[in-house]
Amino acid sequence: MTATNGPSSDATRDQATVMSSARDPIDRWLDVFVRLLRVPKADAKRIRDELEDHLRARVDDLMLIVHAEPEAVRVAAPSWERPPSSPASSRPQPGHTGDAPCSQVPPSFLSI
Amino acid sequence: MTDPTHPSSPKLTPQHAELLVLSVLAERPSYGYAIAKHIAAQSENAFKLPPSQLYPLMTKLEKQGLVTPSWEEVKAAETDADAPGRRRKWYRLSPKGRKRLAQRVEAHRRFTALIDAFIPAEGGQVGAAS
Repeated sequence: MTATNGPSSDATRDQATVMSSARDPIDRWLDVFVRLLRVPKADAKRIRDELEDHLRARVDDLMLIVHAEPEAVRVAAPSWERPPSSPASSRPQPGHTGDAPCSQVPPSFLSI
Repeated sequence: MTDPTHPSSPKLTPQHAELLVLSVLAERPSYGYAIAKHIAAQSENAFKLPPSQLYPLMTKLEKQGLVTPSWEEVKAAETDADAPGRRRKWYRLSPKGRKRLAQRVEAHRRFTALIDAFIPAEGGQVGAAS
C-alpha cells in the first residue's frame, strides 16, 4: 500500500513503503514519453519522476483490488503496450516555453 | 460528446479544478496521485483530474507561489533497503495559496447564490409562468 503521510524535513524520517510494480514496462514507457517532451533535461527529470510515482502508485492500487501486475499496468495506462510514437502529436507548438509540458500527456493516459 | 446535464459527467472548469486542489491541500500536504484520488473519491467519481489536467495545474500553482513543493523518496516493500526508491513530489499550500483559496471559495459561494436565486423553491414548478 502506498503511504500517504506528509513530507518531513527531518532527514531521518521514515520512508514510505510501497509495493513494487512492473518497473521495466513503466520505465520504457516513460523513456519514450519524456523524450517526446523536448524540454530541458532537468525539467524532463522532474516530470518523469512525478509521472513515474503517479503511475506506480496507480498500478499498486489496481493490484490491491483485483489485477495481476501486467493487467494492472495495462489498465493504468490504456496505451501502455504501445508507447507514444507520434512526435508530431506530442511536439511542443512554436513558442512553447516548456511551462506545462505535461499538458501533452494524451487524455487517455490515465483515468486518475 | 458528453452530455453536460447528465449528473455523471460534470466537467471541471480550470477554476473549479484549482478550487478543489487548493481545498485538498488545505487539509494536508499531498502529492499528485493522492490529490487526484482524493478528488475522485470525495466526489464519488464524478470529478476526475487526469494527469493531463492535474500536472499542468500543479505547475501553474507552483509558479504562482500558491503551493510549495518538496521531494521524498519512497521504496517498494520488498526491494533491497539500499536500492534507490522512486521520488515523490509533495505539495504544501503556501500562505499565498490560502489567500487564493479563500478568494476562490468566496467567488464560488457568490456565484452559486446567484444561480440559486433563479431556481424555484422545492415544490415549485420549473418554467412555470408567473
